[in-house]
This record gives sequence, structure tokens and C-alpha cells, in this order.
Amino acid sequence: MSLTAAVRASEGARTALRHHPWAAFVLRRTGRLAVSLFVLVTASFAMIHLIPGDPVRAALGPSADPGLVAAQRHALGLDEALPVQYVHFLGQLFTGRLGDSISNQMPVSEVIADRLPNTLLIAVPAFCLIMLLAIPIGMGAAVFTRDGRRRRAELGFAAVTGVVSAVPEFLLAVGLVAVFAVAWPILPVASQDGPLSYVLPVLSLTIVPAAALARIVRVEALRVLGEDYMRTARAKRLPARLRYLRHALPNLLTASLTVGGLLFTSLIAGTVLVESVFAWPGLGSTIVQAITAHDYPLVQGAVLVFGLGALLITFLVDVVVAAADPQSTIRGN
Amino acid sequence: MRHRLGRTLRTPVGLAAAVAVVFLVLVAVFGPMLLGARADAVDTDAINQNPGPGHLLGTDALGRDIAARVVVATRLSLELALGAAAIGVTGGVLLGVAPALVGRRLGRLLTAAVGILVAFPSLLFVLFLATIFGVGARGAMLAIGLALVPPMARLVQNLTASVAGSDYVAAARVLGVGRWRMMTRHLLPNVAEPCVLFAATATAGSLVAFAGLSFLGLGVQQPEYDWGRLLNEQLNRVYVNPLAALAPGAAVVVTGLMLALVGETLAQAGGRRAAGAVPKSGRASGTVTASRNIATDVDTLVEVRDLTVGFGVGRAAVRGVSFRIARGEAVGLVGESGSGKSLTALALADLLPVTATAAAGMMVVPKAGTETAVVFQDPMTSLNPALRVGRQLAEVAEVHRRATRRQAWRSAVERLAAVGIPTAERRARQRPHEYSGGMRQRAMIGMGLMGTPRLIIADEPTTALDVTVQRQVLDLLAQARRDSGAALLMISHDLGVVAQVCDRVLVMYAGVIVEELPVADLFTGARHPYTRALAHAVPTMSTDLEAELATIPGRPPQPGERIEGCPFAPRCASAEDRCRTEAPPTERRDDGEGSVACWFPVAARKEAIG
Amino acid sequence: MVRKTNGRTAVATLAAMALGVSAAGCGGSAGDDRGAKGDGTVTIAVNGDPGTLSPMQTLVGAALAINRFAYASLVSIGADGQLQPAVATKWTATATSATFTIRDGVTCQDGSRLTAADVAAEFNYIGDPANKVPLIGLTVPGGAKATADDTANTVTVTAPSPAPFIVQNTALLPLLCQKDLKEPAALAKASAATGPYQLSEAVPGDHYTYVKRTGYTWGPGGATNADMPAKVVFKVITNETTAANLLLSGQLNVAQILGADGDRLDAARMQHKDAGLLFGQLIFNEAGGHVAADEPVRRALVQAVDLKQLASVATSGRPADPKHVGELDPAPCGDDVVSGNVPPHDTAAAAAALTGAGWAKDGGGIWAKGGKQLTVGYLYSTVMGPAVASASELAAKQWTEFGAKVVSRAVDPANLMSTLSGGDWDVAWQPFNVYSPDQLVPFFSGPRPPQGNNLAGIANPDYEAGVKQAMAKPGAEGCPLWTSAESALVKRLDVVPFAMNTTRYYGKGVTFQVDGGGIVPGTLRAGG
Repeated sequence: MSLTAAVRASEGARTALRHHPWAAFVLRRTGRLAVSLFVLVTASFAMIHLIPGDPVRAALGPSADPGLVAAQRHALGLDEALPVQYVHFLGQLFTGRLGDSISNQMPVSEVIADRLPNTLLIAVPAFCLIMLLAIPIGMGAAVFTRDGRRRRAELGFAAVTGVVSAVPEFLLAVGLVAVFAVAWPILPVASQDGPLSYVLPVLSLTIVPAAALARIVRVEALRVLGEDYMRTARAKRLPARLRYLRHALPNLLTASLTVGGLLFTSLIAGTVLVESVFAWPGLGSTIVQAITAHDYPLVQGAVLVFGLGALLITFLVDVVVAAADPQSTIRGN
Repeated sequence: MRHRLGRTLRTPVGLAAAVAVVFLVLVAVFGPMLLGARADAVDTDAINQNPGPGHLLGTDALGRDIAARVVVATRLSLELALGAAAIGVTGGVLLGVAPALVGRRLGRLLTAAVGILVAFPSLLFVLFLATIFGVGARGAMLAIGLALVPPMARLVQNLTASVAGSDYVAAARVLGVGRWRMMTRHLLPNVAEPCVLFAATATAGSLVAFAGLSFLGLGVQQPEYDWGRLLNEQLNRVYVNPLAALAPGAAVVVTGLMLALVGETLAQAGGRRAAGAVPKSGRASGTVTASRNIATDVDTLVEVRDLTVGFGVGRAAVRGVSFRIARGEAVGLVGESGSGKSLTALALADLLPVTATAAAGMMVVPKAGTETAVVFQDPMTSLNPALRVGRQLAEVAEVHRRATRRQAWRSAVERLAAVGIPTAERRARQRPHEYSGGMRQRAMIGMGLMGTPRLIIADEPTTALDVTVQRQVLDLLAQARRDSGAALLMISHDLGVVAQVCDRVLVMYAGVIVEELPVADLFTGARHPYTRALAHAVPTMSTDLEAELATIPGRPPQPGERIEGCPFAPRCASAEDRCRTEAPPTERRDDGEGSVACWFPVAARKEAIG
Repeated sequence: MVRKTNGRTAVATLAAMALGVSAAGCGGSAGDDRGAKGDGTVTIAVNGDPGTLSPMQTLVGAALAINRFAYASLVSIGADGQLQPAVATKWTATATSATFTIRDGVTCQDGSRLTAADVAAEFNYIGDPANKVPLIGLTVPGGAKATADDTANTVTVTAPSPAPFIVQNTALLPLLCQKDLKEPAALAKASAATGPYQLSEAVPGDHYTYVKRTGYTWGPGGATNADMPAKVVFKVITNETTAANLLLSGQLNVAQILGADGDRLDAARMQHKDAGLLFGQLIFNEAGGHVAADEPVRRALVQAVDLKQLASVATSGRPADPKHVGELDPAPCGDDVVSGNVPPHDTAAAAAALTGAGWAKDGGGIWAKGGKQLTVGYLYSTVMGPAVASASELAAKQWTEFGAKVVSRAVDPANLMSTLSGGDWDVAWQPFNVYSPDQLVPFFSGPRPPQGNNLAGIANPDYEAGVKQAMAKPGAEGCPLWTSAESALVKRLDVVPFAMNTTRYYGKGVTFQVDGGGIVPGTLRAGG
């Protein structure tokens, strides 16, 4: 899907879509996605050329043997004119090829196909768990402490979530291993080894963002609880369960979903640290190794995949939020 | 801001933040001076030692004292975090303010560019930039700093967009104020506070980010060391010498908290959450404490005696209100904003905010929820935007009538049709944002009619609506009352509306009912000078409501203000000494058709004269 | 983790020779209470992904250690250093050639017979420089030609010049059927097994699973694989602390532990097997234009650092003095070539050496000569582990205090070879571990990369002359000549070995023996 096609499509359909604001929004948003993708692809192409000096010299050292440098440059295709390289790069992308890794000569696309599922296998459950923990906890805290009630509980909540969200994830991961795998060995220490081995990596990814999100959800929930329609719900004498679950929660979700989308994108990148601790063969640990190894094709591929994932998720979140709460989103845009 | 900062610093949080800042600065400045030599002293005869008397936290692989290294690392860790935050804030402010200063097209382009950049996760940014700048402390600082730019720019853009749209900036622009001056004089000062808060958060975030990068070997390289690199070295020995690994970790966490605390303090000083702004509530709930007695009279639907509503101690907004409403009667409750009329209505519907405390000598009202319907002022916000309108009506039947989902839906559609929503079947499936304002108010009325209301409380039901729509909504209310036989309590500051709908009028001023009178007397036979003034100020179709009402000279007393004598006395043209010292009692009118609380009621004075 | 937490593969990447040298004094069982998994599965940690497993394409230590389970060899070297028959039942050798008699009934993974012709084809394939097999010169002399006699079932390989250790070096030669030579890249994540196991599952970066083959009777001395575990899993665990935790929890059966975590395992009374390796060795870039091309500069740099301290830090306080420049114990030539040849730590002598060569300190306290400052580009491999990183920090500190400008660089294993070949360095911490002295010759003499393996550009006439004489003598007969040649190398400070280290293989629920190349497959048994 190219940029011009998106633009043309949006122009042609504009009149027809005037009465379908949501569809118009989705179309506009698709246009922005196309521009973002273009930026991403160009940035990842430019990355290699932005390295001060040149990537081969950066890897081999400034006074490296000229013959070796030339050979390496040729292998990376850096000896061609820039526009030719760019066209070549785009052509490869469309056929799903991302070049070969310098360190192990495997096709980058194969390395990514190998590692990405492992990252998703911990990132997706962690994301669900974050949402399942943060929203009820944040909302519960808001209900419990609304209108300045129970100041001590509020302080306690702020203190606990504040401390937890200040802990670096890798430190938490090491701590969890020390407690639940070594001192009190009920869970596997590391590596992908049966369902139980997912527990600690997923928890390590979950706890810190959940605390941070719970704080946001609480503030957001307090706002929702103060809305006029919550007074209407009270006026209808609905039971508390219905008031919070049916009336407050959906309005909370739209806001939480936006934050959650941002969270998920950073979560994928956040697996970098946790994967390192748990010897987890994911894409996060791969990208770090590739950076230290100056394996530019692999870094490029991983950046593209992470970036693409982030863009798609924000896109989906925006579209879902627009469907759930068209008024604010579409007007806001 | 400075004044508030001083006040905030005296709060426990502010004090803690101040102590934290001083502590961090002292450690960063004097730590390397005092312990630098000890932290670098290599002793290969004492490598990897456990904590002991010579070494508080043990030694590292070169026999250096870990405790000293943790202290000395404070400076570099803070320098890097602050440096990254500075880059992020500076870049973000420049990029964020730019759209408000450059031309429209370029501005839109910049906004769009930031919008795209914000979508990328920051760690990805950092890794991307680390690839370009190479592995190392300076590269990492630049990378983390630049990764902070897009979110900061987004924040500043949003803030400046709202400021730039404000009247005084528009005025400045008309006066030909230059762009640079515009930025320094008008835009930046107004975005300064949130930016400071962001900077504190960003510094804390950078600290953690550096720890992560150094842990991965992408950050600080030897021989330099920050907490992250100490962690990287010592985490490998966490089971042998856990203290050595925990110390730099704790340093990161505690410093992060301190920075968060500083941010919190600055935010409070900035007034975003001014300390002590949240009122303390005496009682836990906003329900009226009163004996909800059985009605004294079979004809009486509502009977209220000595209702008081207040916020906190001595901040009474309703100061002893008594009235009754008969079955099927329509009563208007009028008065200026702040007269306590809405609180009175909310107390009746048992909808007071929890921060309010209320008490009454007697309170007889129909059952809230099913027998009482409430129609609020703003139909835009009173319906839940996330739920279908039909659903919001149907749930009343489900909860209170135990109707099945299908039955409830059918009766919701019927009710919507009954309140004049065209193609109700289809409309019921829509969400409120697809309704016009008038339709929403119809839906609200329909919602109230889902039960079997004996009382409809309508709080300024037409204020937010167009004049033409007002008429329709009032007609609908009248029709609903006819159909259900319910009584109506209509709260309004618009006497014209009240006159159209009601039988009897209660006039409130400063938390008390100053006059009760039949609607026929409203414009001609009012006894209280305040009612007279109100009636005199009734707007025509073309005048602005608030502006006209303001023609009564002076202002009403604030809730909680101490009142001696008649509350209206300071604004009353005919007030005398007695009015200012002695509160007038409420007395029935001679004809029994109402009552008035005035030492010198208008009609009575006429009689006295004539 | 990026910084590989072990020096287990000090042998890795460069010349990682899997040679049959059982560590002394490690008899008995390494098992304890918790047995290996019931189905006879043994899980062994490897410190990093081995990359390609193709025997014709790899020299990485981890890959070589794993391939010992899948590929048989002609001969094997026993714990006593003596050659044992394996696929070859007997052999004869001259100074330039060897003849092997191939055992009957040896099969490849697909069941086909491994014939003398197959073995000859492999010799010819590796010996041809055009095929660029990294094993050339290490297992098969360059330019060697082989012929097969199918009736007698013998292979005769002939080298163009004297090759004294031609039989010993075949212990490293992974045997393949001829058809599998055609596409060496196909064996990157698959096996064409001739040994006791075959690869059943490869998940790069995570694990490699090997299952036992049936009918294997050609182990060292005719051993079978009947008692060996049914399944062997190699698990990639880059972090040593994690590996230790996994051992303690029973998720791993064998792991190599070098650092502080060993203390924990010792405290848990876990058994271990040790293998000694050359661990600390400095090499100097002597190519034209580099400061270390001058011997006084090398001398100054060596004397300016305290090698004893470096050794102590690098081995976490358990150093041992090396005797050789890279031959694993028991070396074919046992004489000490190091002691007395490396000058002691003496900064005054170091300064004198530089002053004598025309260097003087400039205003900033940095040594300079002819307006050029003494800049030392120092290199070490991250695969050597955090202890070597710390030792490198110490070396950089001592050189800086001495008055050199030090630019320190840690290199990822993937880039080590290209960086060393690239030549942008002055001093490198780089040991080589091999079996026989002739295997070191390409590293210490001859052309620089990309034509040869002389990474440091060493041109030591005494060494080259000595090697020429020693090569002419078969096997151990040339030992005195090898000793004097290698001593010349150390005396001129072309290579400075200064630390041996003990690689500890901790085991839980298994018994095994180790040598310089890792676990000896035939000795692995599940269960305590």
C-alpha cells in the first residue's frame, strides 16, 4: 500500500464518507500510518549511512586494512550510489528479504522469524496481565479513595506503586529469580522449558508497567467518577457493580487503551532486558547482541520489525478507541 | 509560584523533596572528592571479597571498595540522567513551541512529524541512536535525550496550542508583538510548570534507562562507571555477595523516587494539585441524615424541614430549608447561581457529592431511583457516551422492575418513541454523540419515565438548549407529568420558564427560602424585594441571562459566609437597620397562598402606606 | 547478556581445538543425589550460540564441542595422551604421510557405509585451499593429497612438506560421507552423523537436541554408545549465574563455571571436572607502522603491567603459570618455554627500555618519540568473561599510569576475527589453544590475513628457522627443536603467555570426563 494510493483513495472517497465520520477517520489514520511506515523504512535505511565515518570502519576500526574494508563494503552493498542502494533496499523489503546477518550469515528474516514469536509469547501475556491487574487495581483505588476519602490508603497506594514503578525491570527479574527459583525453588530459573518457565519472565515484564499504569488508571478513574453521567447512574439507583462495571469501566477503557497501546510498544522493546536475564531466545536479546557486534543488517531488520509492530499497534488502538468513543477521538483529530 | 513553592516546601512531601535534593547534590559534589581515591584503589590481594570491617559492601574484581564506588558513581549517574533530560526538554520545547511561531503550513508539518515520532517506542529510539552514535556514555546520553524529545514536544505543542488560542495571545498578536517576544513573554511562561514536572519525570526515567543500557553493556564503558555498570558487574555475583549487587540497584530506585518526589513537589507548587485543596469531609457519605418519616398528610408527596447542606465545617450552602410538595403539583425553585437551589434538589434526590454533609429535621421524599426521576442541566454530559441510549434506559427496567433484557429493551424503545424520538428503534441503538442536544434531553426525560415516577426533579433542564428546543422540552415535561401524574420540582433561574410550567414557586437566596408564592403572583404580587428584583430582571428573548440577572446590584453572600440579619439586606434598596441585625422569620401570607421572610414585605408596606 | 560471562571458550573462535586430553586426576563420578531426567536425557549448557554447525565451516569452540557427539574421528587421544584407534583400526606414518586402515561397518546417518574412498575424499577436500575449509593446516596439512585402496580398506594421505603430527591431528577431523561434502552449508543446522548421536532438533539461540544412533561400535578403542544417555540437549545459556542456578535447580546437568558462582556450587557439594587452558596471553601487532613492532616498546609495555596481578584478577584469584604458548596438557613436547623468558614487572626497567629506544616523556607525561605519542590500542574479547574485562581495566590503568595513551576496546566474538585481521590494534589479550606445536605455526609466522593466519604479523627469524628443522622430524623426536623455536618467540616478546586457568565443568546427576575440547562423549553417563 503506497502513500499516493492512500491519498488518492482518501480524496475519492471524501464526499461519500462525509456522513461516516468513523470511516473517514480510519482512512485518514491509514494515510498517517502510510507516512509513518515510509519514515520508518527510510530511517532504517538511513541508519547505516548516518553512522559517523562509515559502518565498516566503525566495525573494523579506522586504520583497518583497506582490502578488508572494501570487501566488507561490497558485501553490504555500500559501494553503490545512494539512490541505487535505496531502491535495492526497498525492492528487497517488498520481497520480504532483509539481507544476511554479518555474524552468522543467516538471512535476517529467518533470524527474526525464529526470535519474534518467543518475544511475543512473553510480551502478549504480559500485556494482558498488565491490563488485567492495572485497571481493576487503579479503579479500585479510585473508588476506595475518591473525593479525598481514606487519605492514608491513597498515600499507601501512591507509595507502593511509586516504588515499584521506579525499579528497573532487570533488577526485578533478578530478584524474582533469586526468590522464586533459587531460594524457594518452585519455578524454573531460566530458559524456555515448559509452561511454568513463562511465569517469571512474564511477571518481570508485568509488575513495573502494571504499577505505573495503575497510577494512571486511578487518576483517569477519578475523572470518570466525577463525570455527570456517573451522577445520572446514581440517580437511577443502579447497584454499585453496574455503576462501576457498566458505566465507569468502558469510559475508563478508552483512555486506558490509548496508554496501553503505547505501553505495549514499549513493552516489546522492554523485553530486551528481561530476555537477557532469562536466557530467553527472543528478538530483544538479539538486537542488543547485534548492536555490540556491529551486525547492521540484523539491527536494521529488528528496528524495522519493532517499529512496524509499534506503528500497527498504535494504529489498531486508535481505530478501536475511535470505534468505542468516536466523539472525542474524531473530534480530537 | 514562588509563594506557593515556599508553602509546598513546608508540607511533609515538600520537605522530603528538599532534603532529597540537598542530599543528592551533596553526595554528587563531595562523594568523588572524599571517596574517589578509595574507589579507585586496586588491591589484587583482596579481590571479590564479601562485606567485612574494611569494606562495607565488599570488593570488586580488582579489589576496589564497592561502597565507595557506589557513592562516587552518583555524580556520573546524575550527570548523565540530567544531561539526557536537558537535551530532551530543550529539544522538546523548541520543537513544541515552533508550530505556534512559524507559519501555518510549516507548523502543521511539524505537528504531524512529532505525531509520527511519538508513535515509536523510546527504547527503540535509544537502540537506533546507540547504533549511530556507537556504544558509550556520551552516545547513550544523546540517544536517551533525543528519545525524550518527541513526547516532550507533543506536551509543549498541546500546551502552547491552547495558550496560543487564548485571548491575550490573540491580543498580543494584534498589537504586533514579535514572534520571539511572543514566545518568551507569553508562550514559555505558560508552559513552564508542566515542563518542569516533565523534566523531573524525564530525569527519573533517564536514570533507569541508563541503568538498563549499562546493564546491557551499551552504556558507560570502563574505566568510567555509573550505577548501571556497577550493577552489570555485581549482578553476576548476586548469590555470592548480594549486598554488592543490591546497593547500586537501591541507589537507582531511591534516586528515582527522590526525583519523582521533587516532580510531585514542583507540580504541587505549580498548583496542579495544590496541597490541601481536597476538602476534608466530616461525614463519610453525602446522603442526608434525617428521619425519613412517613408523610403527615396523604396528599403530601415531599416534606422537608430544616434541610442544611454544607461542605466542611461551617461552610453551609443550604441553611435550613423547609417546604412541601403535594401529589401532582409542579413547584418551581428559583434563585441566582449559588443560592443553594441545586443542592436542595440534589439532597432531595439523594445525589449530593460525598464531600457534602447534609442534615434535616424531617425529610419525606418518594423512593429515589424508581419513584424519583432526575433531569439534569447538561444533556451533553449526563448521558454515558460509551453506552447505547436504549441500553441506558433499559437498565432501569432491568434493575428495578426485574424485566428481562428483551422486555426492558422494548419498553426503552417505547419510551423513547413516547418522548418524541423519531425512528426510536434505530435511535435506541445509537450512542449519545449521535443525538442532538434536544434529543438527549428527551432521552433523559424518557429515562426518568422508565420507572413509575411520583416526582420529577428537573435541574435547569432547558438552560443548555436552543430557545426553540427549550419550548419542546418544556412541553414534553408537561406531557410527562400529565401522563404519569407525577409532581415536578423545576429548578431554574429563568422565571419565564418557571411561570410556564409551575403552579407554585419557591424563591431561594443565600441558602434559605425567602418567599413562597403561587405562580400567578410571580410577576405582579411578589412580596419579597428579591423576588421583585428577579421578576423585574426577567429577560426577553434576546437578552443574555446572566448579564440581566447581574443587574441586581451587589453580589450574593458566599456559602459559609457569616450572615447577620436578612441575607439580602446589603443589596436591598429598602433595607433598614433591623434588616441588618435580625434575621426575618418566615411567615404565612394572610391569604395562605404563600409565605415570605422579610421584615418589610412589599405588599405589606403598600398596605401600611395606603 | 552481551558480556559473555565466561572464559569457557577461551579456545573459542580462533583455534579452538577439540583434542583428546583428559584432565589429570579426574576419575570417579561427578554425579550426586539428583539424577538426570528419567528418559536418559542429559542437558549440557553452551555459553553462546555455536552458529553454524557445519564441520566444514566452523572453528568455533562451542560448535566443535557439540560436533564431537555427532561426528566420529579416525583416532582419538586418551587421557594418557596416547593415540587410540577409533574409525581407523591401525595406522602407520612417515615424516610426510600416513596410512589409515578403516574399520568395517561404520555407517553414516542415512545408513550408508563410510568407506576408505569417503575418507580420502574428505582429506582432499580439506587439503585444497580453494575450498577454504578452516580446518586446513590444523587437521590436514595444506596441499595434502589422499588416495584410497578399497580392497584393503586403507587411506594414504601425503603432505607436500614434512608434517610430524599428521596422525595426531586427525583426532580433530570430523568424518563425513563423500556425498555430504558436496553441500557443507546444508549441515549448518542439521547433521550427517558418523558418531554416536544425530541432531534431531535445532533451535538457534536456544537449544540443540541430539538423539542416540543405533549400531555405533567405533568409539575409541571400539567402544559402543550403549551406556550413553538416549538424548543429549545442548542449551544456550549465556549468563554464568543463570547456568549455576539452572544446575542447582536440576534444569541442567552439566555447565562450565569459571567465576564466583563456582563457590556456590562447591558449597552445594557439586562435583566438577577440570580442564586446564592457556587463558592469559598478550600478542602484539608487529605489522609496519605499529608501535609494538619495536621490541623495546613491547618490553616496556610488558614490564609496565603487573602480569601476576592480571593473572590473579582474570582467574578470580586462582592463577597458574603457563609452560607453553598454547599446547594443551599433556603437550607432545613437555618442556617449559615460558619461565624465565618473560621479564618481571618493573616500571623503572620499562622506562629505561623506552628511553633507550629514543622515547621521552612530553609535557603531559606521555611517552613520545619524534612528536608521536605512545598510543596503545588494546583489544580483548567479551567472550573471555567479566574477569578478563576487569583485568583489562587494570592493564589499561597501569599502562596509563606508566605514561601511555590507552584506547581500550572490547570486541564481540562475532567480530573478533575480522577486527584482529583488520589490524587496527596494538596489543591484544588473545590465547590460542591447540594440541600440537605445528598447529600454532600459521598463527606465529607466514603471511598476514587474508592470505594467512599470522594475525600479529610476527616475523621471528629464530622461530621460523627452528620450525623448519623441527618439522622435518617425526612426532616427538622434534621436541627439543620445537622448544627452542617457541622459546625464541617468547624471548623476543612476540607472544607473552602469563596465565593458565582451570575450566570447571560442574555436573549434577551425570558422570563424564573432560578434556581441552570439552566433554568426552564416550564418557557421558546419565544417573549418579
